[in-house]
Amino acid sequence: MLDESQRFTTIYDDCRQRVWAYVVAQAGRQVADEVVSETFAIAWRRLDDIPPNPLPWLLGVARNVTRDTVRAEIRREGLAAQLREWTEGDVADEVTERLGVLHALTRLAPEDRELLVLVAWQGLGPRDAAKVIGCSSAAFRVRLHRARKRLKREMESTVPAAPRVRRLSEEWS
Amino acid sequence: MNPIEELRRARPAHLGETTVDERTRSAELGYAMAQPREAGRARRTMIRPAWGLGLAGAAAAVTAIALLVSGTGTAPRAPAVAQGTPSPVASPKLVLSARQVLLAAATTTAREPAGQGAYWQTVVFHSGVSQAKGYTVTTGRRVESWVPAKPGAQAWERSQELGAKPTTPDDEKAWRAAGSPTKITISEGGKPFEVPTAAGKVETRRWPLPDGDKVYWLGRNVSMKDLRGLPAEPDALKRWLLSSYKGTATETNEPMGRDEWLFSVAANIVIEMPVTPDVRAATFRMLSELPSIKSLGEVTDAEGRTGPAVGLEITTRDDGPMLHRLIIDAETGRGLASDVVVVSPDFSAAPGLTPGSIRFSTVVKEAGWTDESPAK
Repeated sequence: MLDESQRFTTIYDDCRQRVWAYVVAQAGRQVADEVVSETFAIAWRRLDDIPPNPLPWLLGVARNVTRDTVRAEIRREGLAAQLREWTEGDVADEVTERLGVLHALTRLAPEDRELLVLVAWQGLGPRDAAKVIGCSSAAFRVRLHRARKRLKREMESTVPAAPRVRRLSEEWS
Repeated sequence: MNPIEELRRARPAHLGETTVDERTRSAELGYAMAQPREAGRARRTMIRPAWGLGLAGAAAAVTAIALLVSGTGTAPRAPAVAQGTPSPVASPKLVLSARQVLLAAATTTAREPAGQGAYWQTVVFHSGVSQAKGYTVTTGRRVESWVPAKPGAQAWERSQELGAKPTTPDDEKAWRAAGSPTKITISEGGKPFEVPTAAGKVETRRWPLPDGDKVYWLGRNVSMKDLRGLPAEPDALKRWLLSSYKGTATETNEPMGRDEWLFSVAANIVIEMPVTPDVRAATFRMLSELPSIKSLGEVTDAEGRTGPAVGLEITTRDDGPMLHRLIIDAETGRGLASDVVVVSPDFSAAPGLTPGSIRFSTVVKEAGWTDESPAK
């Protein structure tokens, strides 16, 4: 007998932190717990709809919840604060290369950043990542290709030591 | 270095494989499980794990029921590649129009007796064809379910994965040439996954009905009472159904036309739902008024049974255009099976599947009322 709450708990334990990490990378730490909580509430309501590979499904729900419940400017501010934390705080033992990549990431458009994070930090393949975004995997590949090129360009023009956060918030205002 | 690889290495440590603290965990689990459950849309229609959301939608678009009294324990044959099935384009000898086929089904089915019992019991075989390295394989799942007539009771399901089998004799040859692996790797664009050739173990689950009484999804969650109260007049039924139509597919947010949507939802009524013969007849009559539904001639289902079929093309992002068919049992006027067939030579998810090949199939071997509880 496969108990429903047991199945749900397993899904939660397997995926919760990855969903959280995804939301943090979209909208920052401040809102992440709330979005995650709402995402799993929806997951329980729709448990019968969750496919056996639940992560892309959950990320897609989290993406919608983030967009529906967190206002765009809050998302931007939350993410800007998050990026500040990543690139300014807690970096004593970090190599400059890593900082350079994060700085580059902060300068990309949100659409590009979303794709790159799904692939690089969530480890999703194009088909699963396309499901999260809601586009075809062919379209995803094209968009990823472009995002990757723009990331590379930003990395090459990065001066690692200079915090770019100010410029980032200017861009977004 | 590849910029993606650099980005991967730059991932902030706290986004890595950490664990959630116990207090947050219990608060979130508690909040989630306090929510009311919704009737599953995918539960009855999900075919293979790794196919995920997009394909579940395609597979769910049509399902079929046949009220047969044959045994339940037999494994389904691999759905034959539908050679000899007249394609809608190529068939020169269509005897009946879609309208005629559907009206005939309506007349016949209206004569069937209405049953009753404690549970609506169905035995359904889902199968699908996937691309392995150099050959295609068919995977199947047998699902037996008991949906309670009374609110507040529990629904039951007993299911079993049937194992992967090479689809055609040629596929079998290629599989043997590959060393007859007992675990077959399927690769369709995403992460490759393995399916065993052996059948899995039988799993039994039960759950309380969502909201205490919701049993099926019909554009929205419906109870047995809702199903009994469905209009038995085609136009009224159509209005009833369309009140849930939001311009998108039944399981995804992709745009979907009204006819396609009605066909998807109505096929489920004819096929697996405990409605009265009058409502089933009204459903066929309603479909007969949709001009986009085409007659497909005599068609053989995945179990080798034949009957007149109707269908229409539905295009999705993942798969492009696919032909969704509803195969009817001419003798009983019930749905015999439903399937999704490749129509485009450019179908890329599984290059081994040529136009005319069955991609997914749903065959309902038994459907009827029973008083017997599965709790034995």
